[in-house]
Amino acid sequence: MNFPNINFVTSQGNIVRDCPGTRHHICCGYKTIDIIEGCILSCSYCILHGYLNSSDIKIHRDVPYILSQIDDVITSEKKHILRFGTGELSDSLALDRRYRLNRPLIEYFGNKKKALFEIKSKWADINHLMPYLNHYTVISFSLAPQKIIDAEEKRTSPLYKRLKALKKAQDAGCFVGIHFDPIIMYDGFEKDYIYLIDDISRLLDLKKVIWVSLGLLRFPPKLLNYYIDTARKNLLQGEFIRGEDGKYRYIKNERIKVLRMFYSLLKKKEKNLFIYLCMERQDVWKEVTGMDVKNNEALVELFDKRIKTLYGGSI
Amino acid sequence: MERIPIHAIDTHDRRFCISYPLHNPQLATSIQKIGIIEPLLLLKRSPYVVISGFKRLEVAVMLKYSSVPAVIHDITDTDAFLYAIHNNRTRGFNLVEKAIAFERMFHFTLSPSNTQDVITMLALQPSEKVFKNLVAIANGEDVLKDFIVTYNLSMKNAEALLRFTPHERKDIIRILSSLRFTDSSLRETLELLILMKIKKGTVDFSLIDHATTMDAIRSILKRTMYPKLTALGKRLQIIQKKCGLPPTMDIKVDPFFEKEYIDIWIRARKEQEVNDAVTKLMDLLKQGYIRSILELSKH
Repeated sequence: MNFPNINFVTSQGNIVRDCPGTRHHICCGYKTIDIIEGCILSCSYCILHGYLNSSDIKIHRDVPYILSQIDDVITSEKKHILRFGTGELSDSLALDRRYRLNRPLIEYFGNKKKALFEIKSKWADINHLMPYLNHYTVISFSLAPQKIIDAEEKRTSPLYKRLKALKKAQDAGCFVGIHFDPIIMYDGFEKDYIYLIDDISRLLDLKKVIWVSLGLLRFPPKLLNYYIDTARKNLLQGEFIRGEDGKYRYIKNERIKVLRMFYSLLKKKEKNLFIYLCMERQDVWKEVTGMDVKNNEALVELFDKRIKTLYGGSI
Repeated sequence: MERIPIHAIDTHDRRFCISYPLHNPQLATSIQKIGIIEPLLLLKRSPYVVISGFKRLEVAVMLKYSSVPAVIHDITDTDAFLYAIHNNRTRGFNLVEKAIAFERMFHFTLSPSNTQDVITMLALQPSEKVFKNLVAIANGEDVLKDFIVTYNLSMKNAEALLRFTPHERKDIIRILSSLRFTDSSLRETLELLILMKIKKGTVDFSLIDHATTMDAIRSILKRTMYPKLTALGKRLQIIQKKCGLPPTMDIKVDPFFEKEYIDIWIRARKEQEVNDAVTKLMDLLKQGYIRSILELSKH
């Protein structure tokens, strides 16, 4: 395996940013902490293939600088409970045992008690973080059938290890998050996901799952050529159309069908599960969940409500 | 300048040849009429090696000339290669010639600055992908090279063709050569064909073998590769037909059935025409046609 160059960079400008979102699609108002830019896992579908110009990895290690930015963002927010994460431009855990980047963030959010910090990953190694975990850190894993992990997420941890890590985090008293993103429509995907959801509900306490995200495969035009050049059969199944934001997505009525299947399977397992759609249109929200989520603000309010329900007055 | 007998020239040594294609009927006619005006550049070796003037030499051999006008240079092979590029740059290079020149460059020992000069003279984007494509074109089959030159293909379309096997390319070129197409229609067609190859594992040429226009090919491929989208389009057409809209009205629907809304378009010059359009719309609403259109993208 070719290991990319790791460059430690001097932190300048904004490291803490708003999730870029996308036009005409509802965004959850997530805050990204781009402490690492680039990823060693190199999943075949990853949007970073199209976004970052170099395969080198940049790491910001100026912890006080980053924490002061987070602090400013939290202080200036008067209305909502903010959610931060390091998994936007990288995987939160893939390099963490080596560089220990999450620990100061976990400790900061634990002391602050005003916002949540999400560690989002496909790399199931949380042992080094166990002594520091607190109620304000959410351990999340992106989950997919093992068939997809084998074919498209070759350098990541196998499914059973991700599930084991989630269980471990729950046992340590953390809330966990589950991300079905990207959901890939290949031949027979429905059955594989049904088994996967069965496994999840058997192994985890769904009452301690803070959120579940659903997002079907979507990608900018640049990536279409990448998928073609690398002959990604799984990724190119289905019918793709160009959305209003210019990204390729599965045709809408197919998305609705698949998201409804996930929504109903998950709700059958735990009726109070908080399920949100990542970057979907208002009418898709309505068709899938029955909820009238009119805009980003409405979704952020749903998150606030969910967090308040679970945390009560402790946040 | 001197006249060099053709038998003293190695006509098979093409190490400096970057011209493609060599056969040029217009040049042949011109030489037949007034002879070779511009002398060939030859490298002083025994026999002489052509640096520049391969097309002229080809015509001279064809016309059974015994000698050609030439300027002899006693230089290194590397310099000769640079001469060849400089000498041809004023006429401009087609994509295949750029590819050949780029690929040949690695046969000579060029300094980094000379390499950079060649890349600039060939007007190449310095990217790994472009370089990879150029080498593939240079080593490609003549059918591919001829197609690229004849239709003045862009690098994007040449790259799209390179995604197929030589055998598949031969079939694609055979089918497309008899049709008229634009750069964008070719790009779309090749994209649909490669999607078919990746999804189905093979390109079914029998589907498009008898199509007589590029539009027909695209339409067949779209129906095959996007059956659900095609079915939605057909359902929309049926509903629109049932609506029986007058030419002054239209219901515009997102071609990808993605937007939540439709646009209803009315053209009116008088109040009465607005009234008629509203009445028509009320009628369509009553009959459920508007609802049917709105629901197309959801079920």
